[in-house]
Amino acid sequence: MSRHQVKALKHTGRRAFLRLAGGVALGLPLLELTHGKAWSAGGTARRFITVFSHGGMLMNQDHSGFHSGNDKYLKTDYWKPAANTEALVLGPIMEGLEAIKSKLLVLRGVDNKAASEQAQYGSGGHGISNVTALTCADASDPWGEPDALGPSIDQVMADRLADLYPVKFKRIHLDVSGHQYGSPYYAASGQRVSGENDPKKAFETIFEGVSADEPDPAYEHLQMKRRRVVDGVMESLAQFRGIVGAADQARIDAHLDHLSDLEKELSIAPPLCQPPTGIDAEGNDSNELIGPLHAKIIVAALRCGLTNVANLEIADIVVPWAPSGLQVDSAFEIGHSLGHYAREVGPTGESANIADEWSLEMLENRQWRLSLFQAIAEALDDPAFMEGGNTMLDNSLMVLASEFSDPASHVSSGTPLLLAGSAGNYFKTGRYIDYNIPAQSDPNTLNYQTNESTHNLFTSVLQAFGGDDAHFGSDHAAHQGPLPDLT
Amino acid sequence: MTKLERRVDAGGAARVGWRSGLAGALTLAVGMGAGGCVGNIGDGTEGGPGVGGPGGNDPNNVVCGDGSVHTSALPLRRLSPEQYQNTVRDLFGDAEFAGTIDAGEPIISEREVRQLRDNAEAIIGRSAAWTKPVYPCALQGEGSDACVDDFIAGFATRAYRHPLSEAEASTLRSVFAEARKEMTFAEAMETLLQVTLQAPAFVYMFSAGAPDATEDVRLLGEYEVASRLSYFLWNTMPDEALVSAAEAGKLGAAEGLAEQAARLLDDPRADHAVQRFMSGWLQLDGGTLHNALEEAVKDTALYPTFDAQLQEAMRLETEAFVRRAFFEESGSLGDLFNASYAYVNGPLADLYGVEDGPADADTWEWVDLDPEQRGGILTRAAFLTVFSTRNVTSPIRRGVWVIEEGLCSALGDPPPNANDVKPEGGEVDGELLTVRQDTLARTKGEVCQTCHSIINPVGFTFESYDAIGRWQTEEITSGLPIDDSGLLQSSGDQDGELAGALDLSQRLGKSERVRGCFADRWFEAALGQAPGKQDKCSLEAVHASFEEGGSMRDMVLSIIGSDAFRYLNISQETP
Repeated sequence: MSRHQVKALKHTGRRAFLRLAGGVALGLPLLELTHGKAWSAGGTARRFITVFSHGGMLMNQDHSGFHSGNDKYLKTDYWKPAANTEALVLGPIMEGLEAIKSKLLVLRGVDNKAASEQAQYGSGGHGISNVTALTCADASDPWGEPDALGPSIDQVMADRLADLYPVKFKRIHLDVSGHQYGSPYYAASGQRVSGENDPKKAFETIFEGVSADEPDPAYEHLQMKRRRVVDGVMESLAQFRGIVGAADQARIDAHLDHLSDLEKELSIAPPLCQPPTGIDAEGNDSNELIGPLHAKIIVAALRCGLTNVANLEIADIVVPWAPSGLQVDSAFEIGHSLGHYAREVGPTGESANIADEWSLEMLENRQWRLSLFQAIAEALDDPAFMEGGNTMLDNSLMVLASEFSDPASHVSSGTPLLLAGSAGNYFKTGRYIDYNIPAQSDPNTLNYQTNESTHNLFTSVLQAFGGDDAHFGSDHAAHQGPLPDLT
Repeated sequence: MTKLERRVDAGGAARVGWRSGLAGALTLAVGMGAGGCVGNIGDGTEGGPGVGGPGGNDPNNVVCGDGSVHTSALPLRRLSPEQYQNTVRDLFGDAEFAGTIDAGEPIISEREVRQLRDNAEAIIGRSAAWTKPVYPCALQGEGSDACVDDFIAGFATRAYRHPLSEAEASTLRSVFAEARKEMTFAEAMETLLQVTLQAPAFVYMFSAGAPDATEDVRLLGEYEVASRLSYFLWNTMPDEALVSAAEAGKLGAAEGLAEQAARLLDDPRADHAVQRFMSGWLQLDGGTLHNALEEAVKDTALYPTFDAQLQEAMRLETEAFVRRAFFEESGSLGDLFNASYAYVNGPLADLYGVEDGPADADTWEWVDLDPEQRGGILTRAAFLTVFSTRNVTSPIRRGVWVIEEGLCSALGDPPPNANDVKPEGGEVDGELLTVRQDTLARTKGEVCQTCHSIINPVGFTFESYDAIGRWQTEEITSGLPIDDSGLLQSSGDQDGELAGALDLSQRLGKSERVRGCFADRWFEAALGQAPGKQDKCSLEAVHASFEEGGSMRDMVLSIIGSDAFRYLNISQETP
């Protein structure tokens, strides 16, 4: 009997149980009716949120050092905290986060070694840096058009948290569209995941059936019909799987797995919760409209207990990016070209004459991205939604990451990493940690060397959520285990 | 180096991988690896998984003419979003249906699975718009099992594009029976319809080969070849005549297949496939470093006439030109690269400097453009607009397109720190430079020259056309005179110094290498993946038949008649 024949049988039994459970109207506490669902009592790692900002930051980071300001490269690190102290003093890109500074951890000197170790030029590259940024995985065709050969951290967290805290959606993934070279999100080996860029569609999907009122019988009936359809499609696929070749069976297995997730989704009644209002932008509206609505959806979905894991993916900018009227006449109408100016806006660079204009535009764009991170973090930190003695943010972990530090040279070393929330008091926040070894003796050094990788960070994440994992991802990290000094 | 730098979506439409547009577009500053810049792509010497079997079925030892049929194995594909949309429209006769489905990753995503469900629900919600029979009986009342059988024999057979196997039919009967236990007859029939629209036989394009075939390399089944043909040329499900031909067993033979292929190509629906191919090939729908034609942004001070209306006109003109070159004239590649006829409205006539052209944007007519300035598709506004920046030309990217898409020559990856800042000319270090001069200055390094010595001299030939394709003798930004001389080095038979883009286009139109490259791209569109090692003999036969002056239409027919199109290799797919 094949794997999916087994699945089909198990599923039939489960379906019978779920039909019974689906008809029971549960009484929920008042707080859940008015403010959404709040489970955690005290310090419990409960939610995981990623914000992935494509295209790097404004950093003077290079592979083995920092640009000095005496050459043609960008000399300023706009990402770095303003002081070399453990007590966090926010730098220019993060300055909007001052109100929740005590809940942040800024990490410097953490490489994406899965990218640098597999890249053609020993440094990074668009494809390999993207597909490894959240997977830390081995990659197929690493010098060409790679795919990650393992899941991204959000997927792992989604599976684990869904087992602990059943939710309607294992993960939600919203996308601020633009230009990007590949994706950091993978459901499994070779299975790239993309997000929903249309806020209205996202809202309609995530909050379908969600209401502060009693369940709608018509909606329950629709769910019943959908379950029957999923049953039928799975049966068709199981039969189909038997006639395709071995190489294609993996594709059918992935299809069946997705249907299985859909089936679980249909088995969970929507929570009694007030959905957000004003989600009226569509996918072709401007990113300035879409981004904040995505943040609003994520917050509401987390508050309503619809998911444990949320991803906000922000593609590289599509120029002209001119929320303030500024505009750099960049090359090919996409953010990639704009980022490349970082390699010639230094004092001796060909574009030194537009350095200020360029830096301001880039800074504005990155600050705007951070404002989305801020919107989620601050909403989760709202004391109206306390979980025991913690805010929702305290019981969550947010990670902001990018595939590059300096986009101009495709540097996957020292990638920008910002954490918010303490995962249930697990991480010590309000700090800046620099893992650059030469910086231990000279905080202003231009030299760079580190033993830390995102492998270690995500191992820390797994452990923060109760995992006993010794390591996450491939064998490219300098050492196994978590990042030091985080807890 | 034979790495094919293109990916193919589930519908067979080539899309450009991130490296393709990127490779030569960057000004290589440092670090290019050792070795030459240009290699061959799409020549069928890489990609196909190895197979073993009778008749020398060995990917590493393919001997054409050895009496064996050679073809590479193809992975399981889904309908592309466009194919899905077209198929639904044809199945239901609902021309206005507009579902949402993502462009196909090789493995279906959870999001796409959800989209299939939502689309199925939306289709049922549009039952008032259906003009084709779906349910074989009235849904009111208690219904009957006979209605289910009729549904399977009718609608489901059309949706699956083949008569259902007993297992498939049994599954659908079971779906209905289970649904009927807790639903009304109408709801159970709706459930049956929804399952049909999400079933693998509808969503995937699967081929098992002719019934009773035992060889690893075997003829496609009649209905399978009907689907392959229909989705290639019409991008939708087979029509009744094609299904009838399959039922009559006429498609297994080359003659019967050729007859149907010619019929499909003569149908207006084939125009869409040709336009889709050309738009993809010319990258008018966007690439890794440029937006689609309709989303191109230009400096309004330099190009005050450039607006959405002009962009739309450029697209329309391109489609009309392609249609005439492919279907109405000799259909040769020479026409595509050299013809001076153009379908223009008032603004386009102004752009091309046509005297006594149409008076306004709503008036269109065929004109002959100045043959001293325009010849073929590469000298038209659409191509020149997308391969430009906001304010100036992009000789690098224009050159890269010719080398990669026209000649199928692979450009190596640039190093990560290669620059992507445009050479825009103007005042540089106190000196006034043209875009050409600035490009030369930025790419003068020894490492950069590895590739740019090949790219730049091709791209420079287009310098007589500004960023929206207007003819220029003086550069719009610097005011300096244009130099459009160049050099073609990687075409094989047409190499030599170039006197502008017309000279380049004429050589490309005559080039055997370009014909082969163009055919390879069509081959890829036909099969949904790049040619593999086992497709070598099919490719050679197609190339041989596509002689100078030969028609593109005949070349497409020769692909359909090739072993790679008609046969299936299952040896890698046996569990």
